[in-house]
Amino acid sequence: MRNVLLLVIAAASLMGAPKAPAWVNALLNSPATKFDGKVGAHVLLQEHRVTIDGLGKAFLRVRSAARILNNGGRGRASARMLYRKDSGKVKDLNAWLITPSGTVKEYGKKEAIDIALAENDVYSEGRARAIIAGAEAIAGSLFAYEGESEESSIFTQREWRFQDDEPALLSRFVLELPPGWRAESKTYNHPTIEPKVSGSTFTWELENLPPIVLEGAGPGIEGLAPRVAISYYPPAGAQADAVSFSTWPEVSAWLSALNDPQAVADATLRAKVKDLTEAARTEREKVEALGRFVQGIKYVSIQMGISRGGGYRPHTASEVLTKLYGDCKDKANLLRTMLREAGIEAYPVAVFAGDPTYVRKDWPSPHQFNHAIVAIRVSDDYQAPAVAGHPDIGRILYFDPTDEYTPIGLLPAHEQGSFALLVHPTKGDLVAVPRAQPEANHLERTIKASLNDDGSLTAVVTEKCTGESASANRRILRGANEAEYRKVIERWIARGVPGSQVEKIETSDDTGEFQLDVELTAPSYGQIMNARLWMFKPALVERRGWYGLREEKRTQPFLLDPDSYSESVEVTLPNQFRVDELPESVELNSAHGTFRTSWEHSNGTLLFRRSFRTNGGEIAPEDYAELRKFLRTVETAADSAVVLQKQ
Amino acid sequence: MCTLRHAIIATFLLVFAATGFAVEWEPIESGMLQISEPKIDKNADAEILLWRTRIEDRDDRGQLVLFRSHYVRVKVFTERGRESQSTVDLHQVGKGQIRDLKARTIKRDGTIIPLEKDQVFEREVLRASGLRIRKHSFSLPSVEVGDIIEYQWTQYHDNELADYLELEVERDLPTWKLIYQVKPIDWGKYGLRYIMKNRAFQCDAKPWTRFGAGLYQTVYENIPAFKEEVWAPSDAQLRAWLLIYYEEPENPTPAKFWKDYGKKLYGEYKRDTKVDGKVKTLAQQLIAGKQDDSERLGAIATYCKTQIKNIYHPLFGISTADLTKFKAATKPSQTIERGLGTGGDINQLFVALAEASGFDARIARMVGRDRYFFDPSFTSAYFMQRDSVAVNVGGTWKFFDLANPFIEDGMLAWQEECVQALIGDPDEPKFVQTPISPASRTRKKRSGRFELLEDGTLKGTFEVVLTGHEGAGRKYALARKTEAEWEEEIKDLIKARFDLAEVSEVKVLNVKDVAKPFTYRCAISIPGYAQRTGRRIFIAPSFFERNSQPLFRTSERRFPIAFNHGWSEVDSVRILLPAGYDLDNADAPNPIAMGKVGGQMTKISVEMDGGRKFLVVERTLTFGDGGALLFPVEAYPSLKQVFELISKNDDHVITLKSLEASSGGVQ
Repeated sequence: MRNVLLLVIAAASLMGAPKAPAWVNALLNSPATKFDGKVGAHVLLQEHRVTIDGLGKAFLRVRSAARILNNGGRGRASARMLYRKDSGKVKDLNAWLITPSGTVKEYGKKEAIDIALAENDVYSEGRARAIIAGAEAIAGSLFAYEGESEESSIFTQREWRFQDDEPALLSRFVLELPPGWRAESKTYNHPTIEPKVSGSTFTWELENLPPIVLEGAGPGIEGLAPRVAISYYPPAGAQADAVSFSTWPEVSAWLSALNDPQAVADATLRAKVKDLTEAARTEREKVEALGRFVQGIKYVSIQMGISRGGGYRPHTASEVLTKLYGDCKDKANLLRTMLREAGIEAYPVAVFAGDPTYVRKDWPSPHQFNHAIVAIRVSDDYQAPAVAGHPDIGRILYFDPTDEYTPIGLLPAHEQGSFALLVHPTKGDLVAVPRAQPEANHLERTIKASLNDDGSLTAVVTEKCTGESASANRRILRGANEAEYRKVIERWIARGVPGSQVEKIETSDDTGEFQLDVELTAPSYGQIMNARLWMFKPALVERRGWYGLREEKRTQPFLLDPDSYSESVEVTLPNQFRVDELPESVELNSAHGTFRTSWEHSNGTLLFRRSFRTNGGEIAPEDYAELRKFLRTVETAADSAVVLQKQ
Repeated sequence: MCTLRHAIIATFLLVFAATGFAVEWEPIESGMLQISEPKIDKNADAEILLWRTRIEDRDDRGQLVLFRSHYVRVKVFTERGRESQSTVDLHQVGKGQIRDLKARTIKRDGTIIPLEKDQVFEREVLRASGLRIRKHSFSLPSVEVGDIIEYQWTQYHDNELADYLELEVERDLPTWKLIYQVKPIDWGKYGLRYIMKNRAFQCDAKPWTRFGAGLYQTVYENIPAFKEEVWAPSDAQLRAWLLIYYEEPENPTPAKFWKDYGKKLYGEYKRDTKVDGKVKTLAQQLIAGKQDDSERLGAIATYCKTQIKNIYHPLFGISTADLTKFKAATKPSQTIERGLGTGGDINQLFVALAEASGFDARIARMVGRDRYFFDPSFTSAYFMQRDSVAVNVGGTWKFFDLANPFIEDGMLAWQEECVQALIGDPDEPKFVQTPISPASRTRKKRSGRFELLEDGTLKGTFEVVLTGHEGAGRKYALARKTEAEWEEEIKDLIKARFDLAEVSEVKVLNVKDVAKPFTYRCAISIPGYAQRTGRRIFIAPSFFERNSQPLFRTSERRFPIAFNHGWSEVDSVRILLPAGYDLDNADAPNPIAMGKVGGQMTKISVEMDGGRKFLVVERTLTFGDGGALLFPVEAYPSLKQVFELISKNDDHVITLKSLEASSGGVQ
C-alpha cells in the first residue's frame, strides 16, 4: 500500500500537484503499529535542532511528523512555533498533510495564523505562529511540518522532553555549539541517555517510545516522560554572552538580579499599601490584607520558555498595580513590594506547579520552574501550616497570590512537598516547601436525619472544611452563579438520596473555614420491601473528590494528599421499625492511614461515625495494592447498609 | 435580505463623515450607591441598573456601517459578582472596530475612580489570512462589594445592517432598565420603500417612541435574569428578545403573507427540480417492477439516501477541503452525475424523481421545533429554515427527509415532526401538519444475561438495540469516528453508571448501515452491584436503569417542559441467583399508567432451569405517545412526580435471604 502511495505522490509531483519534501515522504514507509483506541496519533518524528552562535542568539529548526490514527489525534495535525514578541521571531513555517489516498495538501504563509498564547495575555508577549489542519486530518493521514525561528538567549541550558502522551517512533534533540564548547546532560525518567557527539554537535535520541497513559492521581506527563536536562559551556576563558549555573545559589542570585529592580514602589503603590493596612493592627492582619488584594488582581496565564531572561523578569510592581493584570511572577513581585512597604520582608520563590515530584536537585536551573510564589518572613508568633524555618532567613510563610481560592496560611496541594527555589541575592537556595498536616485539610460532616414510617426522610447536612477541601468548595461556589451552584449541590445530594428535594443551601467562608449547610427532604428514601423490611445507607451523601481506584495495578506513583475527615450521622428511626441488621464496626490501621467506623443504636436513634486520616505522600507502584485495599475499605464502608424490620 | 443589501450597495452614493457616540456619564441617584440588596432577584450577585444600546445604520463614504453603542451600569452585591463583573472583554472581529471605550468605578461614598487609558489592553488575539480578531480588555479599578461599575463603548461593523438583528431583553443578570435606541436608514432618500419593523418575543412589546431625528426608543424595566433549564424549548422560545428588520411597509395579513410566500416557494423549487431526460431515465429504472406507490416512493428514497452523498453528513466523511470547493447543484441531473450534493440538492432530486414517476411532489418548508414553535402571525420567513419533501399519495401528503440517511423510512427528523409545513403551490399553498412518529418507533430494546455472585458482583453480557430517533442520533454522533472510538464511547457510557465495572468484548454494529438498527453488545462485571449485609443480599434487578438519575431534580421550574420525541423501552434481564439464597417475599413494583401519554410496567418472576434459579425481569416504558411532548410549567410537579415514581420502580429491590441465616435481632 505504501509503495502505491509513493507512486501516486511521485506521479502527482510530475503533474505539478502539491508535493511534500523528501523527508516527509520517507516517513510514509514507517511501520504502522497498532495501538489502543485511546491513542490518537503516532508521532513518527519529533526533531529540534538548536544552533548556538555564542553571541547571544539561538536558532531553532523543527521537523515534526505524526500519523493521525483517529479523530482524537487531530490535535497533532497542527504546527506551532512559539516566540516572544520582544526577543524572537519565526522565520518560516510550512506544513503538509498527506491523506490516506495520497493527496498532498501544502500549508504556508497563507494558511498560517499568528496568535496570542493566552487569550487574556494583556501584555501580549508570548505568541505563536501556527498552522492547523484540523478536520482535514482524517484517520490515516500524515501531518508534517518544518519551522525555523530565532531568539535572543543568554541561557546555556535546555531541556528536552522526548514525548508527550503519544507514542513516538523517533524523538531527537540536536545541539550545535560553536567549536570548543562542551555539553553535559542528565537524564530523568529513563536510563541514562548518552549523546552521540560529532565535533561540537551533540545528539540525544530515543526510538519506539510507547504511549504514556496517565493513571490518575499521579505525576503528569512532565513527571513521567523521559527528558534530558542539558548544560553547555564555552571554552574556559572565552567571552560569551551567556549565563551558566552550577549551583542553586547561583540561580537564585541571577533571578534576584532580575526581580529586585522591579520591586520598587512609587507613590501610588505606597498609598495603596497604606490604605489597605490602615485597619491592620498585627503582622498577620497586614499580611492577609495585602495578600487578599493581590489575589484579586486578574491573572494572566502564560506558559512558555524564556529567552534573554525576559521571561523571568516580572513587570514592575507599579505597572501591575496600575493595570490590575499580571502573571504569577508579576503578582509575586507586587505582593513582595507591598509587603516591604508595610515593613515585612518577602522574597520570590520559584516552584513547579502541578507536580511536586518534578524538580530535581542535581540540575540547578531556572528552567525547572513554571510558577512563582512568595516567601514572607514572619515572626515566631505566626502559626500556619505553610510556615517553615529557613536556616538563614528565619521563619517563612509560603503563599501563592495566584491561587485565589487558597487563603494565606496554606498552599495549594500540588505545591506542597516540592522543591522550590527561594530567590535571594546571597541566601537563596533550593528549599523543601512544607507539606501541611492532614488536620489542615480536614472535612467534618454532621448529618441529622429522620426516617418516617411512610418512607420519607428529612435531613440537615453540615460540612465544615479547611485546606484543600475548602479551596475546592470555594472554587465551585465562586465559579458558578446562584442557580448553577444550587444545581451542583442538588446533583450531589440526589446521587445519595434519589428523589430528594433541597430546601435550603447556606454557605459561609470565614478565616479559612468553609461551611456548607443543606436542608433536604426525600418523599421516599431507602427501599421498604413488602412493607416489612427497610434497607438504607446512613452515609447519605458521598465524599466529593474521592479517589478513583479502578485499576488493580499501577506502573506510576500514586500521589496521595494529606487528608482527614470525620463524619457523624444521627438518624431518628421510624417508630414502627426496629433494627434487624447493623454493619460491623471497622478499625483499620495501615501504613497509609487510619480509618474507623462505629455503629450505635439506642432509644430509636442510630448513630454512625466514621473517621479517616492519611499523611499522604508519593506511593510507589509496588505499594499501590496495599493502598488500594485501604482506600477501597474506606469506600466500601460508605456503602454499608442498615436493615430495619417492621415491628 | 441579501437582495436588499446588494441593491443598496449598488445604488448608494452619499457620503457621511463617521462620528463617534461617546456620551457623558449619566447622573447617579445617591440612593443607588447605598443599596445593598438586589431588587429583582434576592440571590443575584450583581444586577444591571441600566443597559442602553443605540443602533444606527449609516452610509459611511459609500460603505454601509452598523454602529452599536453600549452604556452599561452594574451594581455589585457579592464577591462572586465582583469577580465576574469587574473584568470586561470586548471582541472585535474582522474590520469592525471598537472605539470610545470608557469605564469607571463609583464607590459607595460617591468617589469615582476612572479607568485610565493605559489600563485598557488592546491586542491581536489571532491573525490569519482574511481574519483578524482583536480583543479589548480591562479590569475596573478598585471594585468592591457595593460599588457601581460603568462602562461604555461603540462598535462599528463594516458592510452590515441592523437587518434581522436579534436584541437581547433577558440577559444573564437581572436588569432594572433596558433601553434600545434605533436609527434606521432612511431608504426613501434612495428611492426605496423599506422601513424598519420590529417584533417582541416572550415579552410584552413596549412601544417604540420617537426620540430624536430618525431615532426611536423602547424601554423595558425590571427584567429577571435568564436561567436555562433542562428539557425545555429552545432559548428563542423562552428568553425575552426583540427582532428588528427591514421590510416593505405593507402589513399583509398572515393568510396573504403565507399564500404569497408559498407561491414564491413553489416558483423557486420548480426551477430547481427540473425533470430532464436523465432524471426520467433514472426514475423509470428505480420504479420498475414496484407494485404500489409505497414501494415506488421507497425505491426512490433509498436511492437518494444511499447513492447520493450528502456532503455535510458525517456518514460520507467529505473533507473540509472538498466542502469549501463545493457549489450547490443547478439542476437535479447534475446531482445524479456528481453522486453528491447538499441536503437541499438531494431533496430536490427526490422531488424531480418522484414527479418523473407521476407523483405530485413538492418542497415543504417549516420551522424546526429546536428553533421555534411556528407562529403564523409573525409574517416573516425568518425562522423557516428547514426543508423536507411532501408527496401527495391518494390525497394525503406524505413527508420525506432525504438529507439524513439515518432517518428511518416513514419518519422525519424529530425537529420536523408535528410542525406546520408550508407546501408550495402556484395557486393555493397550504399548511399541513407533519406526522409524529409513535413512541414505539424510537425504541431502546435491551437484554441481559447475568450471574449474581455471593459477594454482590454481577457479571454477564448484554445487548442494546436503538431504533428511530435514538438510533439515528447515536449513529450521527459516531459516524465520523473510528471503530476504536465507538468502543471507547460505549465503555464511557457504561462506566458513567457503573464506575467500578470491568467492560470487555465491546462490539458496536451498524453505525454506518442506514437499514439496520444501531446495536452494541458487551461483557461486564460489576463488583458491589448488589448490597451484601450479614444475612441478606439486596439487588435492584432493573439493570438497564440502575444508577440512572430521575429526569427532573430541581424543586422549582420557570419554563414549560419539552421533550424532543416520544420513546419506548423494552428490557429483558435474566439473573442466575447464587446457591444458598432464596427470595425473601419478592414482589414487583406497581405499574404506572399515564393515560395516552404512556406508562411503565415491571414484571418480576423466578424461573428454574436445570436446578438453577433465575430472576427474570421484564420491563417496559413508553412516554410521549400521541405527540404529548410539550407540557406547561404548571404540570411540572406532576411530571416530576411521575418520573420519580418511574425511578423508584426502577430502583425496586429484591431481597435474597441466606438459607443458613438465623432470624431477627441486631447483628
